[in-house]
Amino acid sequence: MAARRKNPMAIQMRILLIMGLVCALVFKSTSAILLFAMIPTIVAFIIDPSPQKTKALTVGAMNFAGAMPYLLKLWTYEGINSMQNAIEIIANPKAIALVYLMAAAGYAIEVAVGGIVSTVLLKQGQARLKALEKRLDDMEERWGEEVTGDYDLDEYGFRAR
Amino acid sequence: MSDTNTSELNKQGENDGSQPHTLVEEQQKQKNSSKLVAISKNFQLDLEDELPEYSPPGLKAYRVTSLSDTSKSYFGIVTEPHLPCRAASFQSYANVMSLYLAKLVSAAIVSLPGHKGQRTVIVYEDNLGTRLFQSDIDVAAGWSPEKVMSALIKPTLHTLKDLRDHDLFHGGIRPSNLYNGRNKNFTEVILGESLSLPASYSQPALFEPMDRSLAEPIGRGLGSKEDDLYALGVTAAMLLRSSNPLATLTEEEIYTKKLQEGTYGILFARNERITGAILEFLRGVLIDDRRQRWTLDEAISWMDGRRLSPKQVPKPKRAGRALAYNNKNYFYAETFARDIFKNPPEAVSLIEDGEIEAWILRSLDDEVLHNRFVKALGSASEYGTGQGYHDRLLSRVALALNPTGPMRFKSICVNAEGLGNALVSAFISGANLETFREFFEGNYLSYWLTTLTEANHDVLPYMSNFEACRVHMNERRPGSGIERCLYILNEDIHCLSPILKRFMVKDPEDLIKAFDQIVTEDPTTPLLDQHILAFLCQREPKTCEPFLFDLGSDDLNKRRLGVLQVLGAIQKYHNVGDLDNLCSWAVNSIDVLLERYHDRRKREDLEKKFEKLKERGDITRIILQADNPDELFRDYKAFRRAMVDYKQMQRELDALGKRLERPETFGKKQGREIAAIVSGVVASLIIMGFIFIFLSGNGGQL
Repeated sequence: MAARRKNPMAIQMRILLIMGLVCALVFKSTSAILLFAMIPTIVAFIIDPSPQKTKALTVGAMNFAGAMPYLLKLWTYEGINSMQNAIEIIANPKAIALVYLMAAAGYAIEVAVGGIVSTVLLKQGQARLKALEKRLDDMEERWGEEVTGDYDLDEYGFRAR
Repeated sequence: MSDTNTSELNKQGENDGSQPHTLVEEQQKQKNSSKLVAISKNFQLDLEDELPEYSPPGLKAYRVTSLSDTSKSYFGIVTEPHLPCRAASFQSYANVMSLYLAKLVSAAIVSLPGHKGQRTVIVYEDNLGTRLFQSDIDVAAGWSPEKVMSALIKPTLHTLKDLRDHDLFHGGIRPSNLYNGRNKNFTEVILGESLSLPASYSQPALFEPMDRSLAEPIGRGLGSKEDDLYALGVTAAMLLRSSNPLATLTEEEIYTKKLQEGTYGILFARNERITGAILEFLRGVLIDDRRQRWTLDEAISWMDGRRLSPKQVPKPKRAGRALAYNNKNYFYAETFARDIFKNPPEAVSLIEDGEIEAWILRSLDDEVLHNRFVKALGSASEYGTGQGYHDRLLSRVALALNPTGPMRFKSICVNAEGLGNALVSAFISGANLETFREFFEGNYLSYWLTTLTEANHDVLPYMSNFEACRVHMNERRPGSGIERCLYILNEDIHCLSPILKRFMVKDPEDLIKAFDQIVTEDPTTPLLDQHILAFLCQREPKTCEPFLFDLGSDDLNKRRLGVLQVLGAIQKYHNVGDLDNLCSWAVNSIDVLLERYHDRRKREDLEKKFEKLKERGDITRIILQADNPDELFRDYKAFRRAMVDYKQMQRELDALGKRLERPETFGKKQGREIAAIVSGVVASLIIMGFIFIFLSGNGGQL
């Protein structure tokens, strides 16, 4: 049964892969720019251990934004949507520097925002922990230790004798 | 009679020590005043002025002074709890207007100084004078018949008539209770009092008819007018005779002689002849058969001049052959019945070997007695022949042999009327109580009712009382048991609980006032014991019975609540004023009741409310606050909700705690996610910016 369920997914993935390859072949100049420009994202994808691959997303978004003007240039000027133009763009140090700087900005966002958020959340968690401990103490003080549910109780809710 | 409380005697102020003579005087004054006890509002008892002349056997009489009328003198008799006085007769006795009887003027419960506690004091007008005889047995005054008639019989018959009109039995007519009325040349004797002791308690057996004389003195009970007449007859005979033929005889020998010769026959020596009208009187009132004895009306008719000739009375059957038992020979069934518990093993063996039956049939030749004997054997074996059979057998056989005699069981020997007093004495002395318990459990009372052969007993009151005793002995709930029997059989006895040792509590109002005092002295005293519950159930069931379930509960809270409910009910029904001490005690003891609430805040709120209620002195309000089922239910529901909340929070705390154990990873995931979002948003803005630049035609510069 498990094998039967797995097969359709694998087929879908294969279809998508094939379609991707076909598209890459069709838009080979775009694919070439993207392949070269998105190297930081690919690296981030590889080194990101989380299943959600959030690092790749963070870096990738900025990386893609950095590559966007060159893609637009490739697509919007007639006659230049060719492999040669793509190579020219790739070979342009200014372009590569901009693209990789944007990817670096992605890394920076990931470190800064992630750090700030996790610190805030840690503080919040610690405060919540204290609040919970106090609340539980208050409840025990108000309702007695029977409220913990750790004791056998009689029909009236008091410790069974 | 109105009950009154202790007189709190004025305490003198402290002396500064500068005037030694004043200090001595003050101390002397205090000493004197501590011996004076107020009785009601009008009298004062002087415990230092004892009057042995008026003291009944076992009690003491003291001088009493009236605070309102100093022209008359009085004496008071201080009663003892183990000898219950006849309080139920006080009111009727005070209404008797006879000139020849000690006149009762007041009776009250007072607190005696020291640690004696409370006692009933009966105050009489001192119209008695000097006691005529110091002894009751060795009296042979040799008075003339005329003097006996005028000085003793006539005035005493008048007195007995007055007593009968008030439905009273005197029970104390004997030589040592006759007084000269403060006149050395007296023409009529004055009869002393008889209410300070149980009925007939102080009478020697000689002055009691044969059936009553066999019972122990405490268990004789109230007699009839004919019993008083009998005592008057014996007293008159003693004043008439010039020698005492009974001087050397024991009470048992006197009883046997009475059986053989009749009472009249034994009072006079053989050589002493009594002639004249008084002879008829003596023969008439001294007839041993109760049915044949003169009634008071017949005696009064005789006094008025009507001549009555006493009937001939058959003597009890004497056996042709003696029954050998306990190293003695018995010729009468009555004497054997009297001594049957003197040697139980031998008596049982005589019965079981058939010797008694053969003696009844052959020597006594009494078919009626035989039938009773056979029924007694059958009744004894009805409950089996195991433990207690022999005592049951002897008790029933004793009644069969002498059905007019007292009920006998082991060391108990009482008339039905005297059972209550005997039980009081057993409770106070602590002796015989287990025997009484067996007696009540063994249905002896019911059996006694079936053996009554004479119409001398009004059976109905006994039936209801004995049935109530039987029911309560078999019950195991609070307020039952032998203590309940005590209060069923003694309608006017005070509560004998050890808790109330110093008090004479006659009704629930007295009880709650005593409690108010007790809790002040020792708040740890448990207030309701089996005695007090039985007392309340019998005297005023509405104050107690609705709460018996709680009082009998295994749950301490319920028991405490039950105690408070009883106290509250008494306070409510008797409109007793503020009971500050008892309320303080109730609030302190209610701590346990507050523990029925889970919510500690609620407990604190209630404690504050109780503090306010304590000042109001109302126990019922305290109970209403402490025992509110709606509040308790709400508290229980809130507690259950709190339990659920606690569990949820506990789970959250555990999960959070685990995550916080590694702070370096805490929030990282969320941080990265937010960073991705921020990055996406920033990237989108940048892309839109680039698109705008391209669309505006500046893209070629890149």
